[in-house]
Amino acid sequence: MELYKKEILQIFKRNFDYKILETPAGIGVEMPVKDAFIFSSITGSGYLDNPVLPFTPKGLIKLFYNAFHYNFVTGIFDNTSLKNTPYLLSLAKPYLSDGRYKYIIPVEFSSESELQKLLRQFIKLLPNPTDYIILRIETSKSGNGLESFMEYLACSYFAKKGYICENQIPLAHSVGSPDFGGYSLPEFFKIFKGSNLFPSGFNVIELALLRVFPTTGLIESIDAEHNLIVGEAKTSTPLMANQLNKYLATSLFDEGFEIHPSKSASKLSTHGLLSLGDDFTLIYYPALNVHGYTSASYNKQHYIIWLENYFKYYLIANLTNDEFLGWYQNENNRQLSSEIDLVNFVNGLSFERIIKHLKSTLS
Amino acid sequence: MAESSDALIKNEIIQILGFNVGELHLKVFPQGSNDDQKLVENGGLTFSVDGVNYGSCDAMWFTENEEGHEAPFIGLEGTDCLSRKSAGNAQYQRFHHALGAVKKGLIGIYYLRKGACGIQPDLYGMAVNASRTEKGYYLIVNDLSVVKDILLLYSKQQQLTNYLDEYVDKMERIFLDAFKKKYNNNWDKFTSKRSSLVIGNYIIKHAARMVRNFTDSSQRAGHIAVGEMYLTKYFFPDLQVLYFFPKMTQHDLNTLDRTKSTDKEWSLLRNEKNVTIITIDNIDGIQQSIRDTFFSIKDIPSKDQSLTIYNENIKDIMKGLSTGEYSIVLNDGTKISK
Repeated sequence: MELYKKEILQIFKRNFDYKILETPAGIGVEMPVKDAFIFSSITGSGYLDNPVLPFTPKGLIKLFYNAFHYNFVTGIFDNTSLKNTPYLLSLAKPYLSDGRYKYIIPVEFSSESELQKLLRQFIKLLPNPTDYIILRIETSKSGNGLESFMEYLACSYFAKKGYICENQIPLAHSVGSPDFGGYSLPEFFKIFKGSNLFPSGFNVIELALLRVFPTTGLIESIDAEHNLIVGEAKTSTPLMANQLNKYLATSLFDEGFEIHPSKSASKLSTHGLLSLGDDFTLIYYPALNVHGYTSASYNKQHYIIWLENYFKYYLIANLTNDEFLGWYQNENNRQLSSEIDLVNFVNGLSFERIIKHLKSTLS
Repeated sequence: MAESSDALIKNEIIQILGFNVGELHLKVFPQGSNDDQKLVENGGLTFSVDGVNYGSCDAMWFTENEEGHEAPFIGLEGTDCLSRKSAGNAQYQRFHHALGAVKKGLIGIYYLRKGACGIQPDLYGMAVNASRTEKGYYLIVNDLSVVKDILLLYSKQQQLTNYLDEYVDKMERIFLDAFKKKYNNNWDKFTSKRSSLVIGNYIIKHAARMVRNFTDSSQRAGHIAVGEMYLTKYFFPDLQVLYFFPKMTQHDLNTLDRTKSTDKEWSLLRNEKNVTIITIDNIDGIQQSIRDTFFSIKDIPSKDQSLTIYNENIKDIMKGLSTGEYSIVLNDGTKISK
């Protein structure tokens, strides 16, 4: 099954509670502004602020090159300064958090020039173009370039199952970046249970959205069967087993699965599969057998420790630079002067301390 | 460009320079789009010269006439590698992306966003000689205000030429200062430290490339090899470059020519003017045991013992070439020796 506009709208209809409605830019999906931000961050769908390169936070809200290390990529931090945090982005581009809803408009096109012409028309036509987010369906590409849309579906599906989800996850240069990671960390959930900050499962970006989109949720029960899961998404080919095995060979993940719109079974019995049924409902087929990989090079406990630290930086991203640097100075009686200072400080903080500080700062 | 680097650079360009400066328009595509691979004349961001396609650019500024015909002015390649601990030859890897514009007689800009590492002075040297030997200008830039200056001078031809000439002179000063400090202005010292040797009108540069480097895209060796090739070429613009891969044979080259015929980096290596790839088969006078040794490590990454073996044996070959004990015989029969 190839995904086009019609199929995408059906997928939304079957699997989400969002309204499908006619807009001046065509049929679209009405999405709460926070959900739309997450959608754009995962899929790269851009807010219609210009016709050339509609803005998306995708690729900007990043932290580290690889897991197990704390080497920053320019993203949330630029050296020791907070740079592309959702909060700072929303100050620079208020439309990211304005209003109640955004409208996701799937658009099929065969060349960038064709798309740009259409977007120019939309911008002339629409009263508030930045309320519209363009989901690119690149018909010139095999699979229509919709891998990231499948990643979005995987994140949504497993967030509902209680996982903290992420796409394009940092892992290791020699292994590559898995398209999807799902983390169920009992210690983390225990800390946040009853905090009213997060729902049972969520996207990792949501840790950095507390200030821009203050919402409440409640971690009640954990439905996740595995601690750590990994996925590889494809729409251009059904072949992804080798890549998935590369990730599983690290022994960091309890289960790996293929993400594909129309496969009915994974290639290997040691892989699960997230796919779409004939009625476009998302279906997960668990792996029939355990993968059985062990690794001397990677340590799962170390990975979990790294993940927990990793989450702390997303929480810190709710602060402004002044707030963060002031906090550092108060705690250390000196100014923050290097990335090592930054890493030592954040890694040394407990979740409880970060949340307490955020609550007092943001209230 | 890596995903976050791509998004970062493009957003920064838009934020600082906007979409239009005077009559110049910005062309930039989202990360993941394939349109940058299209030729400029077909609406893409890839320059082609004499049938050879150079790496795609991240951004281009162009004018458009009433019929919608686009005339490119600047091709820009950007990277955030300085923030990614890329202090070494990783910086050369993307040099060729902006080179196509320069060969076309336009302005090619390699923008290395400021970060923890500095720009390799060699890059400035490469850009200076590219500017002086090719039709256009090649600028190494770490501040987008330079791009803005150029865009604003678009219609002021003489002022633009002066600005570009002065910028090239500035790059040359940076390079020469560093060259003096590092090599004491001694080109022989430079060549010996950079795996190179000059014989007559030729400069021989060796590298431990192996077939797998070019068939496994994750290794990015094609990019590195192209960067090193251009480093040698533009440092010695009057010499013919013989890029020597002792871990390969002529058969390997033939295989790669057949299997990588559409690969951009391989195409550049094989088609660049004044550059020839030679292999162990082109070395005349060496003992069979040396050939066998290179053959034994031809598929082994050059590290640990394999690197030691490579170093010992390449030292012997380069010494033999420098004394005239060995010679190079090109595929057309030309013999090169001291």
